[in-house]
Amino acid sequence: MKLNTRKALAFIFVSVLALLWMVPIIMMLVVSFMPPDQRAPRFGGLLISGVSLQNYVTVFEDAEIVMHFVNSVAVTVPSVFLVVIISSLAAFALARLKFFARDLWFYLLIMTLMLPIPTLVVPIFQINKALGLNDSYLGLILPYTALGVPFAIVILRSFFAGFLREIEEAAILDGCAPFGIYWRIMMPVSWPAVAVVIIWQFMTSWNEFILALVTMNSVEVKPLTLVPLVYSGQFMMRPGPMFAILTLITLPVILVYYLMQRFMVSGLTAGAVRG
Amino acid sequence: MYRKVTLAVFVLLILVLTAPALAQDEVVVRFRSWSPVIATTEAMIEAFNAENPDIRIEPDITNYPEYLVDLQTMAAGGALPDLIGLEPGALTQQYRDHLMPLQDCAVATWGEDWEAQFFPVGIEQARLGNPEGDDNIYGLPVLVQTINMWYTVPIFEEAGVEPPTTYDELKELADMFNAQGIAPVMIGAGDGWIRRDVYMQLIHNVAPGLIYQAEDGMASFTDDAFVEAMTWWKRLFDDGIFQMGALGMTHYPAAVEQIQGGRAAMFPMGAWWQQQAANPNPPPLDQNLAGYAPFKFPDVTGMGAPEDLLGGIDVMLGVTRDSANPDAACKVITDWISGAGAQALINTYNDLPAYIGLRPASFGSENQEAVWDLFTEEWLASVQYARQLKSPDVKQALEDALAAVAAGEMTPAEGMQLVQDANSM
Amino acid sequence: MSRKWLLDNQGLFFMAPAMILFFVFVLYPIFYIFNASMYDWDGINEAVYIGVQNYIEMFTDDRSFALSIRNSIYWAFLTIFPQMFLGFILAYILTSGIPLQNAFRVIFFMPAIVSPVVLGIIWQRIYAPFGGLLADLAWETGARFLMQPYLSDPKIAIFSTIAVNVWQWTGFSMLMYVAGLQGLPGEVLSAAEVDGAGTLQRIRYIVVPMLRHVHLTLILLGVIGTLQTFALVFMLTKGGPNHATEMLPTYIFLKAFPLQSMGYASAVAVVLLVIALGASIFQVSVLGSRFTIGN
Repeated sequence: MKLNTRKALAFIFVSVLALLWMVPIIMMLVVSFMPPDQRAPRFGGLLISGVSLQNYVTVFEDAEIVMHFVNSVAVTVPSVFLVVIISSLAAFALARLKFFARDLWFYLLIMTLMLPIPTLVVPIFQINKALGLNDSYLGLILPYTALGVPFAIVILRSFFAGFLREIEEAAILDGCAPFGIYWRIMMPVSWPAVAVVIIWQFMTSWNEFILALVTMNSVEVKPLTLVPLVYSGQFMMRPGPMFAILTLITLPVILVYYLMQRFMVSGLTAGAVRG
Repeated sequence: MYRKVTLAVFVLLILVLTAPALAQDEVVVRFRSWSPVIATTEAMIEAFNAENPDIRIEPDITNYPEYLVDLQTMAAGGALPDLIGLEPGALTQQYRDHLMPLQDCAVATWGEDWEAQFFPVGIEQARLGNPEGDDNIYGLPVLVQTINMWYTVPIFEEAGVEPPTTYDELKELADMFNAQGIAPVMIGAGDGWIRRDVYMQLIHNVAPGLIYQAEDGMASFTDDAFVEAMTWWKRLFDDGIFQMGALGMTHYPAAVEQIQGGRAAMFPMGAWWQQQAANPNPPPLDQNLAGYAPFKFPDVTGMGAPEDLLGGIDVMLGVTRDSANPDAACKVITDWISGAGAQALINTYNDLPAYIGLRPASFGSENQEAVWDLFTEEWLASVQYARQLKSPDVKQALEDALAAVAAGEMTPAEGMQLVQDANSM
Repeated sequence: MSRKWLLDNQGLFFMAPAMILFFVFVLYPIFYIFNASMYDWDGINEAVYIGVQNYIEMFTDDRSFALSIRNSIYWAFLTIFPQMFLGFILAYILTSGIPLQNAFRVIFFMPAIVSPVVLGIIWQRIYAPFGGLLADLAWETGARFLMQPYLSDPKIAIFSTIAVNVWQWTGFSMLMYVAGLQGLPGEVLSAAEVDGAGTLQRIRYIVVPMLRHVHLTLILLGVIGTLQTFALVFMLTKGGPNHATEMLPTYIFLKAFPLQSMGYASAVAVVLLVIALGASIFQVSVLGSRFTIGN
């Protein structure tokens, strides 16, 4: 009985907190449905008089949202894919193989865990120019991948390191090469850790905007995050369409998270088990 | 035989892949700027293309801060577009070595006396910051402006009051509006440029022209006049002339949204505020500019309000030396200044035309037309001094000092010392 | 290189793609900014070599730089620990089997995945002193303490900004703790219960110590997050008022682009890099390389 009261109290506490937690997100949604000729809504936008879909219509008419959405996908998905492949290969080697200067490589990589992108914008632009990558998806995919790999390696390496030696040794006796061990034994059971990497990389690639700004010259290749910047001269003073854009940017990430979250928790748990 | 077929397929493939490039004999002009907004730019391109179908313009418009990053990154990489938007002074000077002199283009288009066809402030400011002896025009002005105050007409009508001309009147109005929950003077003082705009008008009230001498080292920013203007700035906060928490608000979009929502009696802005009338789905106050009227910055110091307003170039355009098609770029610029593109631009009331004599095709209301005439015929002609400063460091120091003084972190004298330090560096 | 050597060092092939990307997109840029930091350079026109002059100015006569350092320290302490504390409480409740606990987890985590560009714009409306959510709430309910100059007072602004960050990332801490709690062997907890240990005692002496790895991971991620903070501040305050909320990345941005001092900005970037290296090395030396989730 005592336990139940306690649970009830906990439930109420969490419910109230969750409601407060959601206020900014709810506000974003509400303002995006505000009639377009309305201004200065009360309570920063939580209360509006009247509901309208017009903002979404405007946004789809004036900005090619679908095109920008496709661009975001075309940048994000390959970078997530590449990060998973490249970092898992490296993490496998770092965790399970012996080779020349192994620890040095690892330290080099983790040193760059903390590099903020704004410091690297100019040199990366010049590299992209030398490689002819400006204005192309690859011009973002490669730097995002390069900057995302160290974190992913750290995650995957500790996951791989937790495998029992015996399985690996049995596989070697069966004549399995290191790549076979990586691909056929380790990867298939590593999805929990991979899920963490996927979500993290998806978030960072999807939301990055400084590098995207300088790399993507033509409107046709600009990703979705640039839309508030590109069109804000036009939309900034019209809160309705502006917030409709913000909502449209946000929905896909929430969707991906929602689909992956089951794996995320178990991925993190699987890692934490070996604490 | 087999190899021949393979070869043929291969050649065909190459032809297909390169065909679009070969077929492309139209000239491309790449254009980057922060102004005008994309919808207006597209209208200008359309107007231009109606007469020049062989030139294709590729625009890219971003916010001002992001535009600076964009431009600088491209310049460092030697990849500037053909046509770039510029502000007079620091920005133009930074890119001077990358810009082509445009006076020949101007002469070819408008004749030898072309300068007389522009408002004088535009021509003067186009050369702002040029080194001694360099009379080149690195950017041609497209839009010009004044900075001034506006009031919300229905609010004033309901209260039965007139725009203030002195500090006492301003204070009286402020007390009244504060009691009603209306911002007396709505300012998004979180944005550095609007802080600077107001200070420029204050110092213009105290000692017209002095700040430009101080920039050139012929006066000190620590002189009494500057400190006095700074003291007035602080009083605007302390006396509740500005709305509460002004320093934490952006002018765009936060203050603007409140203005449009009818919660501001007065606000500092400029001639460009007329563009409100062209926005789609305008709130009632914006419709045909029905709700707003401009007035001169009040004589807060009591020393007599100057007759002239501060102003300058809103946006000017330059052609880069990297441009492969400078002639086409010249054609585009001049069309946007005085041709069909310019007309499309002016029709949105975006700001005042730098080229004399242009007029929007239509006005939505008498008030709107009267405002337009006031700006173009009286106010703009009076402009003698620039709204802008030359050095980005002085600009930043002044904006920092204004924030620090407003927040009470510095005294007015300390604030001006900060500016002087930045200038002597 | 003999065949044998290659066979013994197969790991290098696995590492190769990562290392190539690393050299091109990370190491080269680092050398680039290091070089640029020695010049007086506006980023476009000719650069003038000035040696370590930029560094001297930064450490002797640059209030904004000092403020960014101060703010980074505030930021690290005031985001990491509150996020951990709140996150842990939430995680504890949301693993205790209350109804809808999965839904709650999603809700609390959601801010972490939303773009800071979006969050900055929304939170401006919450903090806005005139017509903002908190200000209107204060006005209507009479709870006047809610009406504060959140972003306009240089003394408060950095804390208001940090609060947004805490709101954004608490859900992430929560999720890490949820994972950690679910990984704890159930016997430990039930054994303690049999011993008659109260809830708080159980948490304090058993659960918290057993989650050591989660704590350490969160600290690491918090430090990374602190040093990389850019978009949120850029959208919310632009580093103002009067640099009161400046962080190193926003200051680098301000110097490099609006203020036309690419050389100086590079010098600040080098300092940031050195701090980041120091933090990494510290983490590694304290925790070994086993400093993430698990193991």
